[in-house]
Amino acid sequence: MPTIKINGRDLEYEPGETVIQVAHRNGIDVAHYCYHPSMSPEGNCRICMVEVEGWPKPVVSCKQLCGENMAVQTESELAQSARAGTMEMLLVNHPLDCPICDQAGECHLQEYSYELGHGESRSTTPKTHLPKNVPFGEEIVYDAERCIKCTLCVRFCNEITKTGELAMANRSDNEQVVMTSKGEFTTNYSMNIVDLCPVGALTSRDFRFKSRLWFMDFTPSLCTGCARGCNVTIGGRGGRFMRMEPRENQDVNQWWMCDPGRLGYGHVNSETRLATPAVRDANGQWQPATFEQAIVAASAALKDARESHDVLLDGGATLEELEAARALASAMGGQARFAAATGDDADEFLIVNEKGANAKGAEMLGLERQADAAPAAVLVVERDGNVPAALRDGAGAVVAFVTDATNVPDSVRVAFPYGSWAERSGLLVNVDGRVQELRAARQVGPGNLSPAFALMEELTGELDGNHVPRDRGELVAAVKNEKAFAEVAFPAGVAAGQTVGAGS
Amino acid sequence: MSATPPRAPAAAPKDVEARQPAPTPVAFPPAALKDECEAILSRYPTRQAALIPILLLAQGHYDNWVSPEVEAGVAEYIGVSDSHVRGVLSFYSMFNLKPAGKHEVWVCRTLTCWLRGAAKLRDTALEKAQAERAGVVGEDGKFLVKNMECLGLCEVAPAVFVDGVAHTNVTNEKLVELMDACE
Ligand code: SF4
Ligand code: SF4
Ligand code: FES
Ligand code: FES
Repeated sequence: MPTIKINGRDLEYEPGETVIQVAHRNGIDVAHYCYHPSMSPEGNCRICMVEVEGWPKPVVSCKQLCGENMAVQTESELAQSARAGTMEMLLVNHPLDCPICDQAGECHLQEYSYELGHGESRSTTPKTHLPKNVPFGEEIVYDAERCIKCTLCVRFCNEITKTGELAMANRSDNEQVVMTSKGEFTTNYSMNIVDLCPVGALTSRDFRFKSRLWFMDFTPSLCTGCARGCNVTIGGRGGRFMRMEPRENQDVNQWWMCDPGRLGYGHVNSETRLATPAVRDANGQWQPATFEQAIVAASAALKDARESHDVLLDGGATLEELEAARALASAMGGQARFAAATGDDADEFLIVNEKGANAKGAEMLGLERQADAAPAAVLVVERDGNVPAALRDGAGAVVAFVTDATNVPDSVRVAFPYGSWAERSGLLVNVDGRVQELRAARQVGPGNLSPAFALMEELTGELDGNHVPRDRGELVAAVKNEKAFAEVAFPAGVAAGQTVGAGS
Repeated sequence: MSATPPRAPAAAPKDVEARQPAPTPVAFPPAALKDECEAILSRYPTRQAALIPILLLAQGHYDNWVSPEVEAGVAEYIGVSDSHVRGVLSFYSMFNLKPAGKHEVWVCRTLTCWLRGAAKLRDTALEKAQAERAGVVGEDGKFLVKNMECLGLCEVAPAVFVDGVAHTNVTNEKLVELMDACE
């Protein structure tokens, strides 16, 4: 393979690769705004300029193809002064309203400006004024003054979703992004442009002005809106789910996620979340209980249960929970089943019809899918989409694990709080049979929840004296011993059988 | 049925501008332009490539300006989004996005012409047009004076176009004469 020298290192490249691609692949940081690996390079922002030894002028590394015998310097005096000059130009008309800008803290303009910029502007001309607060569809707001005209959002709509809602209008310092007069995106992926925007020009209505980033905690996890299992980062603060953004995974969601998935966290922040276990007293009134009291009450209720000995789980339940539920069901002499919604909104991109985030995993473990109401002694419900009211109330369950207190059917005598997907750790098998790790997000949910699999294991122990409650590692090991999982790769760490985090 | 519970629609925040209703696209091309449009299209490898000549044709047909309705009609005809058409229209100075005057006076404002007195020409033109500034039609609706970038006539600067005809080495007197000649 041919090689190119970057900062003195000999690096291999494929013919047709650009300098920035080779640099990034080898961990050399090159500043960039308008470059994104998924789209055609446009070379309009000029921040990525580097020096090629022997060439008279710096070149934009995002468009410069690698060539044999090229020696590139990314940090030479020429490269640095080119970047500093570009920064100065970009800031001539930028409002610099960082104190009220949502992007502050993750803004590339802010970062490079801090690194390269002058503290003060040398320009004495007043800044141009352009439209602010322009709605782009229902969920996005555009500020043309903050916009650095990198055209990433325009190219996203042209090249990735191919719906072409956005375009650049006007020239020079009047240039701005305009939306089709129809005013609506025809794609389910529009909000990715908010993440793409290197500055705070595009903000999400859902998140804007809600929190400064540095007060939030971020956790890499998964979206469970459908069985694609897009990799995401969840941001939480003080028990509230603040926002979710896609995390790159070329095998699952590339860099993207869908809008319904991103916004589908309403039930996490519900006012009626069940936060502690609750037990019905002799008068049928709910009383809060400790986990220990609830376990005792639940095992008594299950021993009394006559109608059914089955467990009905939400299609988003983790492999650990499914394994624990199977043991619980067999201790009662019944079986475990799952329920999951099916949509009709699948597209050729990410969204799939299967809405049970772990329906595949449940099927691989041999659980039956339940479509109609049927009796079950134990009920596990996270999203009422997956376990609709008819199934939930028709089960006649006596023990329930629920996210929301409104999801407890009348028949239930003991209710355990169940973490939403954002508060649980465990393994999910996506639609393609890929095992991925869900991680409980910091600062989301009521907190102090015992993991459902641990509670089920304890319950099993109460019902079956010979059963020694298993920890998460042992549950994962049991799943791995299943025939259907023999050939399946598990995420590192979990594969070693070790307990990864204590759950929620 | 979707596993994602429908979220309450975001309340319209006070700070976000209200959305303008979408214009109703004109039926494009009108009968008078049909043949010409097809002839133009046949000259280009893709429909999108024919956008500028078709817009020029449309502008000529609809009183020398392109309204949002015409913009949307052309967008449908070409098969691109109207934002894309807006991008092209707003980039090129020869397109008018607002009702134009009866006559158009283009004054070059790029370096060579400016050094040779174009600023004065523009002021004269604006005064005669009774217009507040370039790009705005004068009170009587007769003239639209526009600032243009280099018209490619630097060697005979200053240059002015009146209704699409180039005039070079223009003096103040000559410009007054030219504008007076307009009906
Ligand atoms: S809105 Fe953001 S992504 Fe779009 S052109 Fe402006 S800076 Fe780039
Ligand atoms: S495609 Fe599915 S998993 Fe991905 S973001 Fe959308 S709902 Fe979530
Ligand atoms: S990243 Fe190369 S020019 Fe913008
Ligand atoms: S500068 Fe006026 S024609 Fe070139």
